[in-house]
Amino acid sequence: VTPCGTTVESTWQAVVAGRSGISTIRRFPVGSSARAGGMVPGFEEDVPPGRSLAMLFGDTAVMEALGDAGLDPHRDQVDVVLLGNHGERTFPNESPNEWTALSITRHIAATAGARSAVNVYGACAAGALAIGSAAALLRAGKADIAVAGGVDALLRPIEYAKFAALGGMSVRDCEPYQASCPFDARRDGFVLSEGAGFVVLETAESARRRGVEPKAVLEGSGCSQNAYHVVASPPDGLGPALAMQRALTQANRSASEVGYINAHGTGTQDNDACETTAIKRVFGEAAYRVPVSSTKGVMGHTMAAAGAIEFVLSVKVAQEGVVPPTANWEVSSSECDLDYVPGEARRDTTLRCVLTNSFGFGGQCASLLVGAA
Amino acid sequence: MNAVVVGHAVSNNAGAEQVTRARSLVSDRKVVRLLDSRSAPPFVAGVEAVDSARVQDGDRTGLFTASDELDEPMAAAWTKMLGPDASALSPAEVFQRLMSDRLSPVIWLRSMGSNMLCQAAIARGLRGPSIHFVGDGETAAYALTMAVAALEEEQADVMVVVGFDFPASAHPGDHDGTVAAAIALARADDQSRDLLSFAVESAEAGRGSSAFELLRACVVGVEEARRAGEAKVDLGHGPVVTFATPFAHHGQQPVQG
Repeated sequence: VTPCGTTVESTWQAVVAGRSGISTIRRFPVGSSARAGGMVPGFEEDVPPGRSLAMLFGDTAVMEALGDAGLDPHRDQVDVVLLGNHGERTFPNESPNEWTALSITRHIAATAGARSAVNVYGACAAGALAIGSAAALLRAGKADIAVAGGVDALLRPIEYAKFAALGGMSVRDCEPYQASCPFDARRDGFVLSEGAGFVVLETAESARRRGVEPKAVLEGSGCSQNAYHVVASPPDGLGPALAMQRALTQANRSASEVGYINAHGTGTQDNDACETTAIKRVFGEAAYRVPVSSTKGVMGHTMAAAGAIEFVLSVKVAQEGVVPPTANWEVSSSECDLDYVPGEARRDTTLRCVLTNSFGFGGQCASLLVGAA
Repeated sequence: MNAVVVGHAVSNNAGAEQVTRARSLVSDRKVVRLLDSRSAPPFVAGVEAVDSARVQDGDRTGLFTASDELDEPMAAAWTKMLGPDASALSPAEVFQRLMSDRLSPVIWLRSMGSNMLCQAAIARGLRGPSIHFVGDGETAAYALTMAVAALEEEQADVMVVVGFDFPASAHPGDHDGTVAAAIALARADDQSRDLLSFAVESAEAGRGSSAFELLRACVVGVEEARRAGEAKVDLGHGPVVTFATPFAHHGQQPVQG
């Protein structure tokens, strides 16, 4: 569930076509601050009173994931749900409800029929951290089937005001669909968006027992800390580089085997330069040959959901052999000088291995390595 | 592989003393300028556990934290951000006030659930695996399991796990109720006494307990095991209790409190 579509397929088609889901925020008056936002289709203007959008989006996405995996929450046992989420806050007198991160996590776990629920708090890396953590629990024998992902619905006035106070959102004078331009020299901030993404992770033995075919293999996951600043990215790229290297090491892969990098690529000056530096640290000269793109150009930054949505898209890349473009990339800069897949999507039938990155406030970094099934 | 406990600490209910203590643990007070008072006790416990483990390589040292919900009761948060008349304002008035000059980014950065983890990592240069989990004792058990997995898979040489909780009725200025416990784990050779099984047993028995209670049970259990081994106890730092451990790894020595 993203601003580009409410299913995996509709989102994938929009991402590959470079079709933006970003428009002008109309849910509340934004004044002279950032005007562009990524609202989920059907919720562009209004929010159902007294309802949590995070729960709505999360329920939709988790049911699609379960259905795709051939699981029925009323019949099959999911061991654990791990969810990246920040809660959903409303103004005083606006709603009688208060949806905390944990209450949303437990709601999604109940929808999935899971035995237990864990909230993973890692800011914008949370969705990817949840997926990596779920894989660790499977490897440790603590679960056979785990549902992991992220959901956030922060296009609420309070959260918008927080990000406006931080100065992180794009205020560039342009059409809303052009506002998110990762790795472009004109980038001036991210576009706040909402959405949900989930995957069902299962041990190979469990999948064989159930007679289901895997869509992809999570070959490696790595996480790290910048240990640098609460919100600023380290100029040396060390934290993100360590996460990428750990994912490669766990997968027993070399950097040269990676056919595509799905970047965190938020469109902030800081992040995109840091991520480019980090990729160079890990890949060396190969950094200039591997295609790197950010799907946030069309869907903005879905925050805790981003890492999970981008993992799902990375699975699609591995399945389809199609590399999505970085929408709105037009102007290069000295600090961002890799191949960001401008223009149109590329077909690469030899592509077997995809690396996806997620970084968050609080200094947390996560990388996941997806292999074709 | 066995995993052993190479350091642990408990930090509790000391309010402003823990903020002072936290500041004393860093060479530059700027490092902890965004450390909120409720995160000070887990910061102290985590850093004490790191220090007692005699960490050599920050890039190979990870930190997992687990706690109950950090979110402040919204009424209290609104009062702090908007003033005492917050509940009487219409949504439009609230938004207008927030968008003027009432909302400081420091307020919400300090309220991030992962703030303690971030600050401790900065203070000691820890770039190993890093995740904050929100939930109960079972969640903390998962954190322990994942920490051990990170060691087994050689993603880190030392993993510190911190469990902390806040009182349910926390007032924004009330940080006296925060409690925290931390243990540091490392890989061990076959001759080392394996305390991981103890930690896992504690974890599995911890269903229904809080993240702090689970980690405290681990610390207490480790201490009992240590006493049975006739090792020395080091107590220090006022309300913070730092234990030396005989289950040192790779030549680490007991810590003087």
